[in-house]
Amino acid sequence: MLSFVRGKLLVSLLVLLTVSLVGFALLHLSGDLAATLAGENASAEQIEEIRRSMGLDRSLLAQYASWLTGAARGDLGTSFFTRETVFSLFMARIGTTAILAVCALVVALTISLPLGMLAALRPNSWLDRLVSSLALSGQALPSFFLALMMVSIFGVTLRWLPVSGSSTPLHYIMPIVVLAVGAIPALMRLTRSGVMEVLEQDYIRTARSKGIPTARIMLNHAMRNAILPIISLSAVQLGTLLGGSVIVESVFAIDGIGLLTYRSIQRGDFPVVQAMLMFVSAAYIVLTLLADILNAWLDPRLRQKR
Amino acid sequence: MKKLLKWSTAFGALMSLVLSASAVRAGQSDDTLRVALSRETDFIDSIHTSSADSDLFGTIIFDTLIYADRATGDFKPLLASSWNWTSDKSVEFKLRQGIKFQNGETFNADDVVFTFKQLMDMNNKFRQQQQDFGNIASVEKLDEYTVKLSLKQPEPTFENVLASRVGIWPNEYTEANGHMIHATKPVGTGPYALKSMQKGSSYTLVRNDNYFGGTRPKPTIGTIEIRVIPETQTQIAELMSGGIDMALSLSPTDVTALQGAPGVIVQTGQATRMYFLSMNVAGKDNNPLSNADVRRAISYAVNKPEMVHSLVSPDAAVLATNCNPSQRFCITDVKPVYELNLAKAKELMKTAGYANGFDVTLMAEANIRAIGEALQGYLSAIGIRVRLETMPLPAWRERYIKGESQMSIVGWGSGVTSLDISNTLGIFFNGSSTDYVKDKDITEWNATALRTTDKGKREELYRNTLTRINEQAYVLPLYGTVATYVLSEQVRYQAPVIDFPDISLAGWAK
Repeated sequence: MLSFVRGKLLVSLLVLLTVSLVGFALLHLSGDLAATLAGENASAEQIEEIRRSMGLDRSLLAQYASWLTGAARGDLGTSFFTRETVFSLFMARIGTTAILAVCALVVALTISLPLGMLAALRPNSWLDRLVSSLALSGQALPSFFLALMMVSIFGVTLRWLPVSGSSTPLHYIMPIVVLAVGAIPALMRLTRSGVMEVLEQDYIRTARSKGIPTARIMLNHAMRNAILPIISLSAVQLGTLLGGSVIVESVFAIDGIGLLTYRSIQRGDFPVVQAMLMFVSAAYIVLTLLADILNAWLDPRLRQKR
Repeated sequence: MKKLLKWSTAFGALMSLVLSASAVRAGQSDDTLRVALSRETDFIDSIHTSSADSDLFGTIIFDTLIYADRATGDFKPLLASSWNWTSDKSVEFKLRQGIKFQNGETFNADDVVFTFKQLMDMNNKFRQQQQDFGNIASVEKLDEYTVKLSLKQPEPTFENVLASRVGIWPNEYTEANGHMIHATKPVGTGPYALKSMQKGSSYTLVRNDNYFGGTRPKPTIGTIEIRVIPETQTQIAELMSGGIDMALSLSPTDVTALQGAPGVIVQTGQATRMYFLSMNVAGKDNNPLSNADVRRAISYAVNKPEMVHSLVSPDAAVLATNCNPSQRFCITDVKPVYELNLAKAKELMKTAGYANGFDVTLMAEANIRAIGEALQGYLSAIGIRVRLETMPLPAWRERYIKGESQMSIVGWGSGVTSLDISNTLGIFFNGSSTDYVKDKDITEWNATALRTTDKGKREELYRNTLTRINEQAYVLPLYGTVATYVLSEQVRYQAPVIDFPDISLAGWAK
């Protein structure tokens, strides 16, 4: 198990390093940061001055090297725009985004696991069709549209929920629902197909013939095997959700990671964008690693394979 | 039955939560004006910030020496009870007495001298510091309530700077904490003080009950809460549901959805920002735009009123000369005037030797793509095949400064400094890298006008420039933008004549 984890960690570190290099290069090649930073009414001389003072006139490699040494010491730099440290910008927002992400995933799992299992138990029944079409429409519905429809119905017409902001728990309801709707379809279909596949296995037939109740078969035998891919998918989805949804955060005016990243890209706030890129990839890597470990613990076969 | 009871109790509890949430909304009931902004601000004082939106905060937290009256645009006394130009390079301010800063410090000449010394220290690296404050030679305290300021050279537009960017800092507080303190914990003499902020998302300001009033009336609303709501659709939903009382950054197109909506009032005013079509007139071979007749043909081919009124706003100003009529010294009665005349345009193209037209690339900011497409259509009528390229503003600016633009739609100006024509003519007709015309006479006239305090002489110089621009059709002036002020009907707020809102002037309608 230990060598399994060690191997995974090494690969993760290499992935992170590659992401940082590619991200750094892309960001610097995407446009003149100094011109962006100088603001709207800046003259050519002011832009040059900023280029010098920010060290943007050095070679790309030299800039990357100094960024990397800083990052290795835990110093991710300071925002060009607000002059706050990237760390404090991040800490001020990660809480909100994490609440949204975890709640949305929990809501999505509570809905998709039982529905997926029921659909698998009765393939091609009306329930299965209903679940599949719900999944399909959930996937087809752009979150921007869903968010605005919810705002229009529950915020403007019925006035049940506050339209935007994040000052009370009520403010979180609509964003969580929108995020969950986006996550449900994949989880539900995966549950359905996984459970269906498992139900056709010999050991399930044996269990059934022994007269074990369906509910117990489902939970003790079927789910134990079907859950593995769901754990992996949930990890990936949580990773995506932690990166923040630009659409949900901007429609509901929630000051989270997604909006921070988006705004930083817009104004060329390079240190923030680079740090957010690193965070999202690190979150992905850590979560998939955790999922792998969890899966290996649940399924001893995986530990041997490597 | 028991179950039903349990459910209905839960539902009741939920509903009361929901209702209590909607009860806190209406602004007037808790004396809180809720304002929406589209963009996050970097710093909330006018000195450190790089965005015009932030001036909204600086304006109400700080007082300037002189005040730009929002109803007339005239300069009036504020912290200075009077000011007197003793020569064209020096001005004496008599300061108002008995005023206290929001932290209790007494306002006097030391604060004014201290503030100007900070602005003059180029190591502070304030935004546009050289441009706005580089001409200040010295500042001195004549007595407890008199300050003398000297300039290196005459600067007829200096009052614009005084009325917009120079909010006076308390010297003791600022000295003790460093000037950056005002970016997070500002202390001024203004009508509102910052109580708390969640940087980037919401700001709460409370009324300064000791505000002296006068030129700028005592504030009436107790609390102002400013929230950043990036999505315009969300702002509109908030306005319609009563979640906010005022939205200041909606575009004229956004507000069409709100015209006639119950409980919402839409006001418009002229903004100082303007747009023109820039052409690369450099005399390179095979550059059709270096030919004045081609540029004249372009000017005759565009139906400006149609384009501006349908795509920008029916209230937007169609520009006859290259300035916004809301700017000082903007002269509009200049000959020749270009109005749509396709026959003449085609004739000019023929004379210039381009009867079959030519290909050209037009660059524009992504958010004005529609204007670019309209121009594309108009110019195709005289055979000019326009390839439209839209991009974000910084990318455009980078290429423009490098001289890579053939044709561009250029937007320029915001805030009080744009109130003077020099703001627009200065940067695009001063011989710098942003000047695609490089007409020596124009450069000279503009440079002289910038240092001429005599109004008649200044006007004459700008008349020369604007006439030359139209004669040579160096650029095609397009339109001045419209500022929108969307309010809930609970709020009374007069749209300012200058694009520099002072929301401390807002009050409740009843």
